[in-house]
Amino acid sequence: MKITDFLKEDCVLIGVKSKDKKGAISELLELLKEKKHIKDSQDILDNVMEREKLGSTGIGQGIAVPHTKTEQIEDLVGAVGISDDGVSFDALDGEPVHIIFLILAPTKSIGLHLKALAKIARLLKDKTFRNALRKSTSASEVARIIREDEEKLNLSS
Amino acid sequence: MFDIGNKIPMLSSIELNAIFLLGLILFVGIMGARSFQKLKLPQVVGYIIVGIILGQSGLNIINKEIIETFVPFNYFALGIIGFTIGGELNTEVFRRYGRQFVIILLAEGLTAFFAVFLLVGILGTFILGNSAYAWALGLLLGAIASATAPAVTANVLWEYKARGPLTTTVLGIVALDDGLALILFALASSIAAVILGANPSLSSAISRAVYEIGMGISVGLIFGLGLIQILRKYAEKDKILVFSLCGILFALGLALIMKIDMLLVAMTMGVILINREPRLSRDVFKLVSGFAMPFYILFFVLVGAKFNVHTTTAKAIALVLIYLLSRTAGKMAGASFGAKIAGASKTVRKYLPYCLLGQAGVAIGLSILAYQHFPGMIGSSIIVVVTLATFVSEISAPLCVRYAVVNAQEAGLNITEDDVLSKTKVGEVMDKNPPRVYENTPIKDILDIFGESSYQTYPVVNRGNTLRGIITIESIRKAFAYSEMGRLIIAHDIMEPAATRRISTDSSLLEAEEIMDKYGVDYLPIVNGKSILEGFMEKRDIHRFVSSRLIKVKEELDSRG
Repeated sequence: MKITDFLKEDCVLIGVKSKDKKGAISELLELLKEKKHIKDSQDILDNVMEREKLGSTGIGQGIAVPHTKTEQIEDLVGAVGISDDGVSFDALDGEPVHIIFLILAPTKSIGLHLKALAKIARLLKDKTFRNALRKSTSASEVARIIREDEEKLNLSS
Repeated sequence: MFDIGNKIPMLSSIELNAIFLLGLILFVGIMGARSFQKLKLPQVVGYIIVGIILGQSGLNIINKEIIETFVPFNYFALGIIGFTIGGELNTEVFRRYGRQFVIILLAEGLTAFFAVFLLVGILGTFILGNSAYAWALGLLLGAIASATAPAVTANVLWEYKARGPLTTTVLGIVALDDGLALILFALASSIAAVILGANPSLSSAISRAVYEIGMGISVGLIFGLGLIQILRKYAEKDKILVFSLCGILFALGLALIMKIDMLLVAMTMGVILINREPRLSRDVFKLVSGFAMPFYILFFVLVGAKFNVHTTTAKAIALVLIYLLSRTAGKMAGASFGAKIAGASKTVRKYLPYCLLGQAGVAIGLSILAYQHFPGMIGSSIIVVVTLATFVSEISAPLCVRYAVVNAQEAGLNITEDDVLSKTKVGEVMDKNPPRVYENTPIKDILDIFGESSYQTYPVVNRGNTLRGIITIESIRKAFAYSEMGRLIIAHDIMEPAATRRISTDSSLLEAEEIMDKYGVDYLPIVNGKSILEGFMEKRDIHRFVSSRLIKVKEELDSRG
């Protein structure tokens, strides 16, 4: 499984406007809805926020990977949001978040979104990758960076 | 337009009433039995008392005509009862208890015979003022006294799920008892004829008894073997049931035509089936007795309804009392003595005497036969005495049998897996304090919880103990690889929706198992109305509970020999 399999170019949002967690996630969900990857955003937003209450997915170094399961989809769906100013996300290190990876998994799947989470977490450990992603100015650039880095990782591993 | 209105009155009113009454009898009968069950009394007593209230001595809703109408149902019920009793007597039982049965049978039957014969003879001379009449009456009543009613007796044993040496002995003896009563009656009636100066023919009376017993066994044998031949070809339960019922009905009908004892025929069929095809016949007996309940109710309600208080006179009551006292004393002393010389266990010796007091069909049948042989005072006295005594014993005998099986601690031992499942409540088996996983427990800690206990599935709850989902060992296996991800993956991320389908701690294990089967899961969380987790169980907990219960019962039975 590759990240680019479930993260489509049309699901990248450069310049997230909201400064708070809920608003930022909501913006990503609206984008997914607009691109017809999901039908209803409110329901999923509630689920994501519920999950966030149990423990923030802000894993530090400006990154967050909010996730949940939903019946609305058959396969993994992902979205990326880049924020210049940063979003307050109750992250582990207390720092604002600049890269948000939203992952939605079908309800019935068990390991699918765990696998995706693990992949993303691994990619984001690389500092140059993180910086390149933060400085991206277009969706195609984000997609390219991810694709290239994923290939590099696959070659090295 | 069709004139339907004209057609309705064409149905005879008695037909409508019979159907309606059938519903009424079953309804009131089962309700009555329920209230008796609450009083811890055998249901049979409830049916009979409902019968007395609805019948000739009470409201007369079930009048003489109605009783006549239902006679075929009575035969059918008797047939099923006989068939089922026969099914309890496999060769192993005969081999193990056969000698005991015969000794006890002879002891209790003959002692009852002589006790009634002597007491009715002596005291009857004063009451009736005619010693020849009194001694003839004594002989006939004595013979009738030796019979024991299989129906009430067996029904109480079945109701209380009794099993053990006492139960086996009782069933064996009531099964053989009819034969003894028939022989004694044949002898008694020919001697009575001599006493009364009529033209006696001992040989014809004896040959009549031999004919009845011989034919009864032959007919039962033939139909039993025939039924086996047919049943071997079919596996579907509904077909097995219908063929079995056909077999019983044909045999009963033939017994009616040939004027032989229906119970004997049906019992022989049961004996043949259980011994020739033990595996196949288990289904047969289960299906037939499952089907028989309404007929049992009808049968016993009608027993009560037949009771007619208006025919009772002071002399009759005196004779009934003598008969009952001497029969009870004779039966009890004889059973106790017989059990002792037969070397039966202490429990059997102590409680068997309470189990042989019932009287019913055969006694009534013989009294009618006596009436035909000896028209006039003797005949009608016998009818009145036996009828009244039968009613008294039909009500008292079940209570005595209940007393005996409960105190002999044989009640509740004849249990199957289904019994345990339907009688046990979820609350008794569930783990009230199961290892639980909180929604925000990180994956690494979940692995620790899984490592510490043997469950395959764990309930996931929030801080308020509300059930949120479940985690299976399968999902943990898949999540295992990601355990290094720390707090990013928590229980909430890997849990699945739980199959909670309105099961309470008061539901039976049977319901619990049905829900698990329906949803294809092996676990069941038990929650209250507010989704608060009250307990948890897995399918193997049910299996473990059922088998340990059954093993315990088996050990209990084995220890009694």
